[in-house]
Order: sequence, then C-alpha cells, then structure tokens
Amino acid sequence: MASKKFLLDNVVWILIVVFSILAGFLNPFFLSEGNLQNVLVQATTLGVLVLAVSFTLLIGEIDLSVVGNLVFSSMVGAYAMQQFGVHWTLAVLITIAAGVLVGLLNGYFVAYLRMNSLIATLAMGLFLQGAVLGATQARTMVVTDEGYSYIGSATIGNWPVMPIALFVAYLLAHIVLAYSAWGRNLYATGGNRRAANAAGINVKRARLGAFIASGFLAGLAGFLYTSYLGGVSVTVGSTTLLYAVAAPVIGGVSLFGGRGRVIGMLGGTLLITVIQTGLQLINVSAYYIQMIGGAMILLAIAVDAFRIRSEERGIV
Amino acid sequence: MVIADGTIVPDSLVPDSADAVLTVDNVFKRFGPLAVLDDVSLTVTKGAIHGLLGKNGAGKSTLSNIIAGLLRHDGGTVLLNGEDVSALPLTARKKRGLHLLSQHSEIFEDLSIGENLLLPDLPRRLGLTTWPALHRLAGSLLESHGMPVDPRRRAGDLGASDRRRLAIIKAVAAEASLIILDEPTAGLAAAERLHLLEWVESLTERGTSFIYISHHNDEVRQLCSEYTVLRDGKVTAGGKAAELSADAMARVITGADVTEFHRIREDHPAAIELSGLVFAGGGPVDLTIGRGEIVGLVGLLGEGPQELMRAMGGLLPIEAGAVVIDGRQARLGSPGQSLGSGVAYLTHDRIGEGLVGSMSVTENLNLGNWPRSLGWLVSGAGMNRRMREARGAMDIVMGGGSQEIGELSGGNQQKVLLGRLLERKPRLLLLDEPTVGVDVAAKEQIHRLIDDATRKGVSVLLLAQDPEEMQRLVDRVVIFSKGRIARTLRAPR
Repeated sequence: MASKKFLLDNVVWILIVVFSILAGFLNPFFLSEGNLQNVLVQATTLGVLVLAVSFTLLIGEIDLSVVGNLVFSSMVGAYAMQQFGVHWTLAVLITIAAGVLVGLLNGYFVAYLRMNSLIATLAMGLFLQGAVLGATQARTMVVTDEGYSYIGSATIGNWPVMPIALFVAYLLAHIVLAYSAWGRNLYATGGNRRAANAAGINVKRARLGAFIASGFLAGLAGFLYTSYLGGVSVTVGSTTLLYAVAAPVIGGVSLFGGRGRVIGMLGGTLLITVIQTGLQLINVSAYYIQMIGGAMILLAIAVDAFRIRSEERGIV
Repeated sequence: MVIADGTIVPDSLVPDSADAVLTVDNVFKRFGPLAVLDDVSLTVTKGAIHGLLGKNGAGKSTLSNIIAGLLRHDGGTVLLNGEDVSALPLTARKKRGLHLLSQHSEIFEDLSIGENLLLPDLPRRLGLTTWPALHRLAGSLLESHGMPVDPRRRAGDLGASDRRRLAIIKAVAAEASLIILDEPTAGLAAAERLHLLEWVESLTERGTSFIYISHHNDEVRQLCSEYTVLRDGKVTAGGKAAELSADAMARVITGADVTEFHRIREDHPAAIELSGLVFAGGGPVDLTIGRGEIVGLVGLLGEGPQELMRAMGGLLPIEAGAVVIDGRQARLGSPGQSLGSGVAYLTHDRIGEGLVGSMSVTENLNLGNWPRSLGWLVSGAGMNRRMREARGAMDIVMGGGSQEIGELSGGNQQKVLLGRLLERKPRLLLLDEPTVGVDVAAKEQIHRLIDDATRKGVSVLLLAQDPEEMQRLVDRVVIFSKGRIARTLRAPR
C-alpha cells in the first residue's frame, strides 16, 4: 500500500522517465547531453512562470496575467535601455519592478477589492498584451546589450548558464514556501481562510503578498526570456499560459488552495518540456504536438484525481 | 461474537433475527496498522431506535459509514432486511431503504422546501416540473409527518431543527426502513432537542427504524429502546436501554469511573473592564471581570453574547467603548490585534473557523504564532517542542505531530485549538462552546484545563448551551437580552 501511494505521489517523475525512454528509442539524440541542455534551457522560462502561477494557486486563487506580465515587463526593461540608455543591471531591476507593480495591482484587486481573481487577472493579461502590441506595433524589440543577454546565452564549459537561474529560483521558492513564516501563512490561508484569520494571520496581506510574488516571478521570467531570445517577443503563445497553469496541477498543486510542493511544480514543468521537445525531435508536426500535449496533461490529471479519490476512500 | 472486558450483556442482546432490519456481524476495519473496528456486531430491531454510544474516536462514525456504504470494511457482513449488502455502494443501499443523515444535513438553501423534499423525482408533465402538483404533494407529506410549513418557502430560511426534520421526512418519504442519525440534536437548545426527539419517536410507529448516534447519554436512555456502546473499536455493552443506569452507561463508555470535577469558587480582584462597549449586534455593555474569574454569558442566539465575544476576538467590528486590561486599553481591531492584546477567542466552529484541514497537527498548534529562527524562518524544533509540551499537558491522543489534523478525534482537535490559544499567554479567554461535539472524557479534561488556566490568573468569558457545563464552571452569570446585560447572578460558593 505504501508503494502504491509512493507511485501515485510521484507519477510526474515516472511519466518523465517513461516518456524519455520512449522518445530516446525513437530518436537516440533525445537522450544525449546536448538535448538535456536544450530541455533545461527550454524549461527555465516556463518553470519560473509555473512558480508565479503556483504562488496564487496555493492561496486558492489564480493569476492568468503572468504571460501578459512577462511581455509587458520585458518591454519596459528593453525600452529603458533603448530610450534612456540605462545600464543593464538597472534594466533588470526595472523589468522585475514592472512585474511587481502588475502583481501589486492584481493583489489589490483580489485581496482588498475582493474581485474574482480568474476574471481580474485574465483581463489584466489581455490589457497588458494589447498594450504591448499597440506600443510596439507588434514588432520585436531587439536587445543587443551583452550584459542583459549574458544569462540567456553564456556557457560555462559547454553547459548553458540559464538552467542555474531555474534551479536557484526553485531552491529559493522551496525555502520560502516550506520554511518561512510567510510561506506557511500562504498555505494556511489557502487551506482555510477563516481559520487563518482567526489564528491572527493577516490574511489580506498574505493574499496581496502571493500576487506580488507572482508578479515578481513573471518579471523575472520576462528578463530570462528576453535574455535568451536577445529581444522582446511580443507574441508569446497562449499555449504558454495554459502550460503554466497545467504544470503545477500536474505536479500536485491543488486548485482549491493549501496543498502543493515545490518539487511537484518542477516535475510538472519538466514533464511538459520533455513532451514538447521530444515530439519535436521525432518529427511530429506542431499541431499534433499540441494535441499530444493536451492528452498527456489529461492523463496526468486523471491519475491525480484517482489518487485523491482513493485517499478519500482510505484505500491508499 | 467477541465482546470486550468490562461488558454488560443481557439476554435481550440477541433478538429474533426475523425482527431485525439490520444485522452487523463481526465487522472488522483497519486504517493502516490500526484496527478501528474489531469484530463489531449489532442488531437493529424493526421499529426500534437503536442508540450508538461511545467517545470520540471509539469508531461510531466509521461504523455508521460502513453500514451506509461510504466506507468498505475489511471483514464481516452487513445484512439489511436479511440481504447481504456488504459489497453494495451507498446508492444501492439507499434504494434498499438505508439512509445516513450526517451532522451537516444536506440541504439546498436556495431551493424551496418542497423541492428539497421531492428532489430528484419532481412531479413532471412533458418533462417539465408541474409546480402546483409539487407543492400539493410536498404539503401533504409535511402535514402528515407533523411539520406543517409552507413548501414554497426557501429552505435556507428554516431553523436548525426544522432542517433536520426536513432531511428526515425526505428519507421517510423515500420509504426508508433504517435511518442513521448522526448527532441530530447537536447545536439545538434543550426545548427544541426534546421536541425533535419526540417527533422522531412518533415516526417509529410507521415501522421505520433508526440508529441514533449521540454524546447525550440521557437522550439515549430516554429515547432508545436498545443500544450499543463502542470503546476503542470494540463493543463493550449492548441491550435494552431501560436496563442501564446513567452511571453504568458513563462507565461503559469511558471505560473508567468519571471522577466529577468541582471548581472551588473564591473572590477575584478586578482585572478587565468593559466600558460602554458597542458592537455589531449589541451594546452598550459595561462589565468588570475578575482575575481568574469565569463569567458565563447567557442569552438566545442573536441576543448579544456570541457577538460580544466575536467582537472582542477581533472578528466583528467594535463601534464604541473600550476594553481595559490591567489598566491598559486593549486594541481589538482584528484577531491578530486581539491576540496581541491578550484576548483569545475559541471558536464554536472548529472545522470551519478553527483548524486548517490540509495542515498537520503540529502546524495547527502553531498556526499564526510560528516560533521563528533568523526572524523569518519557522523553527521546526520550536514547533515540535510546543507540540510535545501540549501533548503532555493536555493528554492529546494522536499518532504523531506530522499527522493531518483531520485524523484526530473531535476532543483532541479541540485540545489542539485550546493549546494554540494558551500558547499566546492570554489574559482573557473567550470560550464559545468549548466542548461542542466532544466526548465525556475529553469534556472533563477540557474543563480542568480551563480551571487550571484561571488558577494562573487568566480570566474567562464562557458561552455554553449545556446548562451542566455552565453550572460546573462559572463564578458568575450575566444574562443578555436584546444585546445588553439584563441581569447578573453569582454562583453559590
């Protein structure tokens, strides 16, 4: 019984291994060092976005503005460099500050004005993406600053630097969520808001904080993505947003709040990235990749639902 | 069948099987390594009310869930009207006339009483609901079951006891042969409780049987013709309820003689001063509370006592007036501020407002009051130390601190909640139904803990439906009417 619970709790990692072996069988390059680097680089931006969404899922809310925020904050950072010639370090801070500002607004709407987070952040995302498209006339803004694009392009030995950002972000998120007082307050607020309030936790501030963290991470993802691309891509696909919401759920983060581990968020991110790159390598057309991605997500969620059901029945 | 030590088994325990609605035979259930039901057998006679008694955690809920088909058992059989239903799910058992009505009776608040009663089989013509027929049918059902209310009214507007009546009528109308009632009188005032019970008794004349789960031994003795007592998952007594004295009943439930606790009453120097306190739902209230004194608040729901407590606990706004504790004015704007000022409120709604179900026992004990290291990290060692202390001081029965809080029995959950408040070193405890849904033994312990706290100088405001609890604990009673204090009575020394 214990082994069954272990399997169900770690279904994401099992799927990653199974899919990797399958893809490696069909195209041996998939299991090469070069492709592993590729997967980790691809996973970095998505992974940070997944963290952003997860902070709001943990309090039982959702932030659908993360992709709009990513595009917006990276445009602000690039604009500061192009128009005012600010140093790249300052531009990084400006990028992240723009993300935090959006998060602050979202948090104020949801925690203090009690607006519905699903609709409020969806609208915020549409607003930001539209604003960026209008301001740039849908043209890519090229970033030539070497400092700004260092992390996205540099290598140490022959290994890319970018995944370091991913692992540092996840390590810090783990420390904050699992061990800091604020992190535990987030879990408590998501698990039972009334009880958290009665226990003396400032619930409004905790909820505001979750959205600020989400904005911070979306801004960070904006910096990483721009650094990697060498420019601001104003048309990040809407599938990115869906993957950013699906990955935490695949990794066991509850949509109702209060439950979810950082390691699961990482697993969800890696599974989605592995599927995408694997299918590309075995020459599946882009349309089918989307289809198969959808099917894999359904499978992972079905297993999760099965786990919850069997826990309720006391079988596992 | 196997019967545990210290058992009372009269001859009447084994009734004629032809009369049995339900026969549970040697049922066995384990959660992990723990046997929660160990060879449990019982028989419910047709038309009888069968009392099911036991402390929290004795296995009552597990047994009723197994009988109803919500949980699968690991051994033994469940016979309903002679048919083996062991393998059938809840819905199939419901079709055969077995209904479980839990403490939180399922009611659609925004639908009418009539719809609630007849769902899912509303009278239809051409697939569309015919409202006049629905109301006629529902009206006559309500009438004939002694609950004459207008079926067109919104179900959410019914009082607590009428909601339970509605759920019971729904089951009876579906031709239930056996209805399991899990604490149907919880949260009801004494008069309403009696009414509801008499009404349930009248339903047995139609041949419906009941299993009645309760903490109120006197109710069981009054109402039930037969009973079964569970202790630690084993049957410790059973038979005809009339043959058992109240003391003997308490003994078989707890497994020990309950030593009654008596509070020693003395003088209390004034410590806390409420002056001109106006809050949402009452006031102005002027009250002086002594150091170590327990003041009981009495009044109907909505007449002010609960609102006063919630306002002082920071959960309702205070509009005017002041609370002065040891000469210093307390800030009571939010639960955090109240706790910081030394005022701690124990909620009556343990599940909804007290505990975080997704967190562990240890985390629930430390919730919102995390022991810190480096200023911003939660100290795991600090949390565990508090858990060990609380567990020792309050005799909390649990597997380990990392267990989810929901796995503990109600009494132990309540101790965790009380432990969280006491850790704050409060000057004033506001206890809103401190022993609601708690068994006899845990109640006794909680009373002692409250008394101990007052010996250390903590003042207490107490709100309790149970008159016995009031009598045992309070030094003084203030009676509320329309949001104000109408009278004050001092307990005899």
